Amino acid sequence: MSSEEHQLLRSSVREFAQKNLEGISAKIERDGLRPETVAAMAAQGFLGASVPGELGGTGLDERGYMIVLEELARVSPSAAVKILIINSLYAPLAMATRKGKETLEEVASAKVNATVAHTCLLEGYREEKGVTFADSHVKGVKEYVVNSDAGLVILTANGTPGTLLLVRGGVEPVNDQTRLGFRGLRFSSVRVDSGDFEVLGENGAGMLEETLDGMDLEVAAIALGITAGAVAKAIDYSKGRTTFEHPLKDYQPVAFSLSSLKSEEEMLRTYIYSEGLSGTAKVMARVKSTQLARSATKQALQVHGGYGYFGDFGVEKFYRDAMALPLLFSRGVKDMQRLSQAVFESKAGFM
Amino acid sequence: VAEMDFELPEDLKEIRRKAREFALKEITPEFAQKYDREETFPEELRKKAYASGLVDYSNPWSVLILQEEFCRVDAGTGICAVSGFFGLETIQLFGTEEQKAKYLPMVTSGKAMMGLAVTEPSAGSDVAGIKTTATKSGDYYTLNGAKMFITNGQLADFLVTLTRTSPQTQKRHHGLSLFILETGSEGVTRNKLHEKLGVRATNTAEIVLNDVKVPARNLIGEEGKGFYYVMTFFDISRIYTAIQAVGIAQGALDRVLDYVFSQGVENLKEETAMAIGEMEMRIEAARLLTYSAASRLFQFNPDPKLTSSAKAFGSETAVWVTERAMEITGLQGLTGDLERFFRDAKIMEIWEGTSEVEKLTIARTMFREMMKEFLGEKGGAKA
Repeated sequence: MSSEEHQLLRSSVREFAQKNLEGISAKIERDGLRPETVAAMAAQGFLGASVPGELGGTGLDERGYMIVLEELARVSPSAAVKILIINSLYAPLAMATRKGKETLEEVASAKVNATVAHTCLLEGYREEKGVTFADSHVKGVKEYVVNSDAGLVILTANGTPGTLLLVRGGVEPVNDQTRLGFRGLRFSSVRVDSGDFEVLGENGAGMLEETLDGMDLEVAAIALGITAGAVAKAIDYSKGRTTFEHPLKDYQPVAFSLSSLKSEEEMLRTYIYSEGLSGTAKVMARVKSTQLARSATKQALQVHGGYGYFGDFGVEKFYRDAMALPLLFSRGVKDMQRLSQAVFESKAGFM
Repeated sequence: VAEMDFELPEDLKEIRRKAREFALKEITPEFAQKYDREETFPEELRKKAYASGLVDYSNPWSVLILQEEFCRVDAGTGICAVSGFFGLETIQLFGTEEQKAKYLPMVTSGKAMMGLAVTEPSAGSDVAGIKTTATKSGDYYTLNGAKMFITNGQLADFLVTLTRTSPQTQKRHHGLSLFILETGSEGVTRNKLHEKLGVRATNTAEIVLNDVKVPARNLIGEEGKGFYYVMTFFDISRIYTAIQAVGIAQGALDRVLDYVFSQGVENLKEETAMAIGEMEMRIEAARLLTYSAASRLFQFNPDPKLTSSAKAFGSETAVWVTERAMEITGLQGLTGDLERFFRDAKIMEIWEGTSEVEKLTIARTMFREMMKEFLGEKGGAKA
């Protein structure tokens, strides 16, 4: 795609988000992403944004896909994360087999929801029984699955690293978890009891790890969207809100902190969309963007005062999501080790 | 030689032990989670807390320790259990004997609840910017306006309410007056506000006042001095907020330690160990700062500089510690108590004076003190 095409894509995603998500963003937090909203995202080609065209996706290039994630996250991070799970986790893993590839068209068109039980790689994961399979049947429970009301689930079975399976049908979300972030998506365990499954590969944990580490820029794009959404709201608010007979923006601590966050946002945007980023540069983008999202959302909420603490103003969800994003889709210590290894050009920070 | 003693006396240690025991027994994780999810007020918990004899307004230190220990277990329901008195000191310090006799016993016994209605839709930190008016005619005042984010708002039997009784002049903080407003009065509408980020068990409401008649005998202190009374009250309530924040931070650290031990402390890396060390360091500093501010206050010699420091530092500590706690515990924190602690902590930086306001108060108090000293040295009149 040319940079004009990227520009055009950006304005059309922004328009879509304004029209279809902004008005219901509080409702998404309350009741979850409704099927009609997901269908609308599918109709725009967002749901299968980076899935190759010949497999039923939109076939956007990396930058185009990041633009979709960023622009949706500006309004509803939950919507962006749904697309992340399908395009950056599910699709690359499903593509390991022919049968897996064949599922992508119905996933991209929202006929069936799909997810990956990837959180076994994360800090604090605890598994009760796990999932086992033999011959023709797979059975068990996977904990902490995001976007768990899915008909297609990729998971590891038979221990660690386990075998990676794509399970179809016989999957049911159970035991919903409290959700700090991404309340538009179901977050629960899944109970699996199915005879319809496909082996995607051995060394399941390794495959999951590679996939999760391979989505640095996508996570950075969502973090940047969260930052942009929160900072824009705070800037708007501080123009309109008056305290001690002056607009908030006239006060140095407000103006300077928001201007500074806006600068960081712009610099990161230039950085993450620049061409030919090395692997190291991508980890750096992930780490800095998720950190920025956290500090930016905190300050954006603070600028809103009491109003920021309530759902109506749409800023507290950014604060929650900015914390949940790295906890669910980054590997804190492991990411820092990847970064350190690149910086020191040898293993570092491992002791 | 007088010793500085940083130990709590034995009776307060005993109160702390009992408060913790009560909180752990009554506020289970499931209980806290339920009220957080449903955004409802735990009335039965409040009743139990009063019935236990733990809530003792005659002993301000015990109220302080109680709040610390309750918030350490859960801030949302913990605050509900002991905040039925919110605003009480305005009557205690500035009210008439008749007001004290009529309103205080029902609140201190837990039979009734009260609240303080200062904040308005367009005036938060800027207290003097309030627009609610009280107009006198004969032996009553007529109140009109709207109050926002009022804690206990929907449940309170009466609200100590700040109004403007004479038009705004150059001195914006003049002309404000405090009234005891009975919420059953005609013309009072209360709307519960939903979807708070945290402390979701607490009741928060918008109060609309439409030609509400309040007897003149319900005026607290003198007409026109309301701003001063409210600021005096903030010197008290900020200490409560500071200790609530310390409780939240301590509760988060408790849970981090549980997690670390469950993972095998021998596997602990320096990165995490140092974060835990820093949590402990900040929490103890916040606690001592709060006790020090409280000690001044309880001896009727509050130091606004110390109070605001305790409030700002305590709340920033709560936010900082809960953030680190989430990072360390990952999925466990995300799906357990800690995510609630993280959400609850943020309000501490906002209510009872934002961190920004506290820091300005600290600086301005210092400037005033310097000015006094300067004038004193010059042999000038006392400011």
